Amino acid sequence: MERRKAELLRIIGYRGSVLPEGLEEEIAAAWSDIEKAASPRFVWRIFPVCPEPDGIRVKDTTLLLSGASIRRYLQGCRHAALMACTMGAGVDRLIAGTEVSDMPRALLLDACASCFAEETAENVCREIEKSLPPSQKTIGNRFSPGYGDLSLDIHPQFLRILDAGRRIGLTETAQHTLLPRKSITALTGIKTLTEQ
Amino acid sequence: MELLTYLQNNILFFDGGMGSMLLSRGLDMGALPERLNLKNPGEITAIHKLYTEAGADVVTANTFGANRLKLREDTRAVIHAGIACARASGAKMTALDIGPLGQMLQPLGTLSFEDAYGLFAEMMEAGAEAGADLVLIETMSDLYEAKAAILAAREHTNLPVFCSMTFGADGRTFLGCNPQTAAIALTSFGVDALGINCSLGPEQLMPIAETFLKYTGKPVLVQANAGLPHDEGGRSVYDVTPGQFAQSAVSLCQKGVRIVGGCCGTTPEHIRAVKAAVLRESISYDRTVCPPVTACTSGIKTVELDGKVTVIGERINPTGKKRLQAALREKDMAYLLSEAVSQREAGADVLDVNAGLPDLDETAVLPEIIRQIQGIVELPLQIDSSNPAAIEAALRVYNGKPIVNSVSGKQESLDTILPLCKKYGALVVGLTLDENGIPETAEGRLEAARKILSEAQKYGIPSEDILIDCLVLTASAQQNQVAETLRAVRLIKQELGLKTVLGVSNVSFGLPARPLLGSVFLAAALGAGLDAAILNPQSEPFRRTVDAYRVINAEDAGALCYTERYASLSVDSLEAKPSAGSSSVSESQGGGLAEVLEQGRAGEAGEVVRALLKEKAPLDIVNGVFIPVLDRVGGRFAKGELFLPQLLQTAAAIQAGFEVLRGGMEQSERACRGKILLATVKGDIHDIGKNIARMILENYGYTVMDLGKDVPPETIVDAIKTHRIRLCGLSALMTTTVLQMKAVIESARAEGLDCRFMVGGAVLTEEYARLVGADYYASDALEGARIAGLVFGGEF
Repeated sequence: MERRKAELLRIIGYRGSVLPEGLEEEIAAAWSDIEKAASPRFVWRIFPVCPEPDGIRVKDTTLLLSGASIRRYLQGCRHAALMACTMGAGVDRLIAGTEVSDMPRALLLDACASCFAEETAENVCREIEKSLPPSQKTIGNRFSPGYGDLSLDIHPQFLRILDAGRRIGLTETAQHTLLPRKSITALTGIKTLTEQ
Repeated sequence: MELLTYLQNNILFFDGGMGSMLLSRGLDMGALPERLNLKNPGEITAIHKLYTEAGADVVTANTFGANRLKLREDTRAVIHAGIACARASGAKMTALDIGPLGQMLQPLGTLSFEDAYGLFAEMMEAGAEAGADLVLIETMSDLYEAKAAILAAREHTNLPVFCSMTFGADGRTFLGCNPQTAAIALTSFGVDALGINCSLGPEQLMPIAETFLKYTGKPVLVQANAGLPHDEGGRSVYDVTPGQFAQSAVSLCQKGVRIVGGCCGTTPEHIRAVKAAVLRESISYDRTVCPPVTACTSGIKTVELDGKVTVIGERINPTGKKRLQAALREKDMAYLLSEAVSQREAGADVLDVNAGLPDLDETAVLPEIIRQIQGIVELPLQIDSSNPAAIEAALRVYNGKPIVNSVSGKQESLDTILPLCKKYGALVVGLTLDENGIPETAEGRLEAARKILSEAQKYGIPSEDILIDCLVLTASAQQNQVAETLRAVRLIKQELGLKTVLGVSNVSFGLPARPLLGSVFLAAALGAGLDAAILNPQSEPFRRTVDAYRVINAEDAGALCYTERYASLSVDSLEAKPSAGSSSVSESQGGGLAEVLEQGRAGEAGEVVRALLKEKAPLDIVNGVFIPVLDRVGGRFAKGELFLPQLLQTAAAIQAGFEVLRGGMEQSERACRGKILLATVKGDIHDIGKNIARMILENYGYTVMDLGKDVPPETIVDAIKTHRIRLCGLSALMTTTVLQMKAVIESARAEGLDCRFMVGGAVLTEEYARLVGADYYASDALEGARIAGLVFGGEF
């Protein structure tokens, strides 16, 4: 909870001054509105991966992950999970509608929705971790298309592999912006522990 | 049509999943399965053949995602090959399969309705050329996208059109459309069959299918998944066996479903089992016809007009409203949208939208504001115009089943408006007047209504889709006519069984205490059986009358809403003089405007400014109070003593103050500080930062032209040219869209336009700003105001 609050305050530009009266209540109300408007959905799948000269191949799929960043990130991983989550269109609608009548509140809602998406993504990663056999383990921080030199151009394939449109209603624009807006796509590397 | 006759006494069997069959045969995930139509047609035909042999009447061609966004110039060839593969299986019928385009439509997304229509039209033409027997539009989660596809199918082929949407366990589509809304709207779009597919197993789809059966008279289609998928080693696995699937199909058919097949995870075995089981059972083909419902919808919400009072908000109509006229002329969407939102908050069920001004191109403006309002407010709308071209343009872009206001009993009106209502699917308001004007007696208006009904029926518009407006005349001019209108409401309901609507505000025109007369008339009209009232929902007397009537009419069960709203209202306050409270507020605040603003008390700001206007000129208030307050608050924000929500609360309070000033300021005074253009660049739909910038700039007295989000470079450059803009602010949140800024700036420079550019947004830095060729980098909204000060030479 404290972490969530800290993150929210960071997003809305809090820089250490005393919290104004009523703000905590407003944040709590905004959070509850976002929870009501959201329909969090997620999808993930684990694939074997193997390094090739041009990049990291995600087996059984068309996906080749190229660039130095992803190679470094997946170093030593024999598997990777592809995951996507979205808070749904209701959140976008709520924020856009509030911007018209109450901008300060819209800003709080927007911040809460970002946090909510982040927490959902973390939960998905935990679920992935739990699903693994004892011999496997995720490598911590997730890695999203667009990080480092991993191009966003892989997004269409990434979403198709997860059937994200049909399964969770996640789409992207021609410029690879995810829609609904509060959505996250990422990879999580999975290491196989060396046999004792 | 043969197929549709067949459906009256038979169950039609579709095939099952294609994608899951391909994956199980080794197709790599992430590939476009439609490409196999060209690369490996034998494999595709083999799958179709398995379904044909299993007994499917219709095979669905492998064209689900065969659109130009995914296949570029190969689209047509892939569709031709897909239909050929399906026909080669020897199936009785081939369906052209149309899935979602894969990009989200505006307003939530960036794909325009017209572009979506064009993409679908190409698919429809290719499918029809190749010999498809019907069009199956499926797995839709956006009603708007479904509408684009249906329109494209109806305007580019003569084939029967089936459409199904996909609903989650919460009973809604991903975009929030519920089954009732889908059934009502899809029926009104003129499909030949409609229903549900994908997402859930047949058992879970049962209640959704029942809702469809209740709200449409058309054949209902169900193509469920073989249960909910779960993941096994990177593959989706479905659990419902052919036997279980078939049992559910039998129940669905017994309830009235006429078309069955399968979706993800179903196999030829599922279809074989379904057909055998359904043909074994005796199915009654006399579908219990549910009573017809009068309802309008948006893309996600339905308002039924049966057995209750419906409030239609009248505020978005420029007649006699200077502020709204200015907003329409200046394309000030923020004002229009706030009017829409405040009417919804005041309890309106439907919003009337009128953009009729003599100097305005209604055909362009009306659809645009319909789009904008539908992006923000989920209420159904009433398209209000006397211009048939504007009505058609608005109907085309409308998401859902609207009300059209209006057709009259004049033959010319009937001949032009009714076909539009039929084509696009709308309720229609019929005015009881004809070539001879408004009949003076209730009987005369009944005859006019009768004519409207019979003409509408010629076009196939059912009587439940007609609302009759018996026309309210003013008591000050034609007093005897007021009671005649009420009598007409009774008579028309009794004789024709049609719903009625009245614009109640008219009655009090020219008389004092208009709310009093208006609300008593409203009560009388409701007593006469009025179904829908067009009024100002923010008017307290109207609101109270409606709330009270809903208790009397037993709509407000247990008077719960009434009690909640009025429990704390003392009888004294009902009897108090209307103007008692307001003056005390301004007196008590006195010179405290700065304090009200600094504390962000937006609710009080308007009142205090109004009081101050008695002593000071508007510009003095701006320069003497608004700007110093903003500077102070801005300074504290910069130092970290305040943070963004507080700054915005002050901004919102100043904005409320400005609304009051606008009335008192001349156009020239308002424009003097300078005009600034703002836009979020193409491809980017994140605009909260830009909207904050707009608010602050307006606070400083600048006129802001806000082009919105996802704006193409040419639109921005055109606007700079047309409006002689000297400062343009561009916003982008994504690294991928920052380059769009460069495109705008370069093309403005190439045209030699004398305009400065400031850029801002989450990913922007000084360095990026230089890279895209901007003159200024605005790290936040206050910096934007400082830059504006530099450009326009004002003080900051």
